[in-house]
Amino acid sequence: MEQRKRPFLPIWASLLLVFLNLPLGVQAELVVIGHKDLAIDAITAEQARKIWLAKLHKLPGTGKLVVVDQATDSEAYHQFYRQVVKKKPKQIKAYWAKLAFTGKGFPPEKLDDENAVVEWVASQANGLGYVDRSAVDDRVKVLLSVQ
Amino acid sequence: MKHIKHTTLAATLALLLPLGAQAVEFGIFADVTASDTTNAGDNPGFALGMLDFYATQAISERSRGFVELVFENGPDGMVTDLERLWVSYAVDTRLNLAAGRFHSPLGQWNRRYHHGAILQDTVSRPFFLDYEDGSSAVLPLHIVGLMANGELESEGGTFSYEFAVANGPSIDTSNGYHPAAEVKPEIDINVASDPNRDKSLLARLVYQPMSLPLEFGAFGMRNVVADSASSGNIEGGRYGDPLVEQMVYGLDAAAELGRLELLGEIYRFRNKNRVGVPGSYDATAYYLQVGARVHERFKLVGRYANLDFDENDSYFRLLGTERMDRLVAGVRFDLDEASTVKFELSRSRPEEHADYTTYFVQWAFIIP
Repeated sequence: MEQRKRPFLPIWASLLLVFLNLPLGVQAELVVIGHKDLAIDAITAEQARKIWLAKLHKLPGTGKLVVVDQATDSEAYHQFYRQVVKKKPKQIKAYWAKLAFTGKGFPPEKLDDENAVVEWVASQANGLGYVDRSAVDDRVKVLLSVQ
Repeated sequence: MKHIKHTTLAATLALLLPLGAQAVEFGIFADVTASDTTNAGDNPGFALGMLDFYATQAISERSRGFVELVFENGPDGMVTDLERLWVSYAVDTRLNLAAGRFHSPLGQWNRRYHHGAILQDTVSRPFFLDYEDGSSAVLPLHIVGLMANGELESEGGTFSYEFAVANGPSIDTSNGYHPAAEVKPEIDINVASDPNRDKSLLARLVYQPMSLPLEFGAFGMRNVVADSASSGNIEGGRYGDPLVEQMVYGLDAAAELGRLELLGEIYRFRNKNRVGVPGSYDATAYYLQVGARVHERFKLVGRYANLDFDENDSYFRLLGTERMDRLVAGVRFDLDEASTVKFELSRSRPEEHADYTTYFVQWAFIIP
């Protein structure tokens, strides 16, 4: 009697791997953008984290940096805060509450969609935002790829 | 401080809550504190700390509004105070104009922690930075008036400034010099009117080097402290009469050196008596706080604070202040981003009373 070959991975394990990979599979390439005339051409993820937490306000050659967020219910917002800022929505809310209360800073303005972010960054000499790479045009430049 | 009637408070909160649903930045700071002391006559117990509601929103591209209401325990039960209320207009980052009620631009502590217990590493404040209605208050920590502030960038760092003109402070002198603890007057910051034409002038300058986690500040305040008693005024005076011409100036610094955090302030007072023993008298108050972060969530803190003044200084005599120093040792453990448990032991050495030790356990939180 022919012995059935055992699959290399059990079916449940294969399904688990597929499931775990799903979010990565559908995740867009998020990029941090700046005005095309900004004095820098790249930033690190750590610099981006500090800038969005209002812990870093300037980089060599730039003026005071200003950032915008996308809407808090957008996938881009969640991906950016999970991968770059490394804080959960509740944590970031508490963080900004403390800063706003002490007058040390207020949370970034939230724009409705990626086009609005690109428009805004293109109009701000020291503005930074994050969008899907497909939304980038020649009025802005990519400073960091999140993936 | 003027106490707002509960109906006014309820109406204000009713206005704030719907705003919260419209994405106004809205939060609540609160704490529960247990304490015990060796001071005679005090019993161990639990206390609800300040329940602090705040709301802020950019009301246009350049303007912002801010409101903060606090419920706190007073001698006659829970009272409410409007702690801050301001509206501002930003010309640009170099100039922001604001009007309303603010925390006075004096030193680090008063600008850094405000009324949110979770923000500060210790349960208690440095005793001489007690709020105006507190038993050891010596400074008007709030003002009502106009403020200009802004930032100036340089290659090496950032200068920021705050200038303010405000109603002058006053003291009810009807209980005379050295009033007993139960009748101690508060420093009235005069939210609705000023007893006389003299206004307070305040300024603070801060420098933050770009390459170092340091902050240095220098500040000053000029007051003519007025008499706000409507009868029984000291030395036969009248409402609005000047009591003391006061200059307060000082330095502050904050630094984060790896796991070590340093915070310190020194205040110098020059009080010229207009009542009491003629003359000008100097006083000094200072504290130094050291924090050591031994773990991401766990910090050890120690602080020494001291207040010294001349016994003929009418300002401190009218407030019933006592020369004192206090040593504080504490532990802070952050349960998460929004709640903290703190333990504190403090040893107080007032000049005219017996030394005493106080123990605190506090659970402070924020609902963002």
